[in-house]
Amino acid sequence: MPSPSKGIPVTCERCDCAFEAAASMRGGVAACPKCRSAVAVKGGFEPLFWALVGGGLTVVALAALGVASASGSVWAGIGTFAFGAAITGVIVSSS
Amino acid sequence: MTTALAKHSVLELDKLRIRKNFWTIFGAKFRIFDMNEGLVATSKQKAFKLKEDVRVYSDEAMATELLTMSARQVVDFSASYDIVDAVTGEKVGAIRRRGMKSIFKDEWVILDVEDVAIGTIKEDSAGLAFLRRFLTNLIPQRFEISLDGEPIGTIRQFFNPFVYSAIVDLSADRERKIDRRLAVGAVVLLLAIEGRQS
Ligand SMILES: [Zn+2]
Repeated sequence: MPSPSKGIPVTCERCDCAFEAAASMRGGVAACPKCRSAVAVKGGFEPLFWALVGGGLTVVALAALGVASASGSVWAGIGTFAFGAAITGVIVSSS
Repeated sequence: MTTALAKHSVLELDKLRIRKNFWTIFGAKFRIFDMNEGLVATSKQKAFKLKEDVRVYSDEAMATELLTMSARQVVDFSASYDIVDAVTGEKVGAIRRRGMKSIFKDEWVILDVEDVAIGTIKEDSAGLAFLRRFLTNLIPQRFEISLDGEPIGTIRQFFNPFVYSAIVDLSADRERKIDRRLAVGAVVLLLAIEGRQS
């Protein structure tokens, strides 16, 4: 992963021009210096986002444990966790 | 109700009236009018997106996109949003919220395609901004838009318990120094985000 102070290498899909986008554009779009097209700058989600996802999954796991102990069924707990984790997965993949 | 789309493009006008549709359950919707109440554009904030995503359309049916604006990060305290011309696919610039100052007085920085600050959109008065934050949000907001330190426009919000509306006036920018795609994108984004937070 590039360090925050360095540019991020990107390639324009329209004209194949390879250039470096400013580090501040991580996760956004840069303008191709040749054809001005908007080019996505990869960078993935930020650490704070993953911390929130981890927190969300922890809450789901605790809820699943609660469901399992209240119902006396391990499968009810597994089902609750699978449902919560699937919703989290849909939200993350749609973003 | 369907309003005929005015012949003027939203990008050609100096004055715009923006109204927020209150009847949207998910994601803000705006309708943008000229000063003769002709509809010139519509805007919608996409629902169920972690990264905020706002679009401007040239038609009421929201079939033809003019501008797309999206956040760079999901969790971003000094949020940056890129503005792209959906017709040409060109990036036209970006806006970034000036983080800590926004607690008392909202301030956004207008960035060019290289992320260089070229202007600002600032809430009018720190005193009124403070009252809005901590006492009542019934005090309408007013923003001043500047480019290279020169005032080029204003956004005036009007309080009405039923309809959120604002008038954008870019007539001070006689030489059209600011790319109107950047100006319209920045204003719609700001109203979508500020409107959601108030
Ligand atoms: Zn290119």
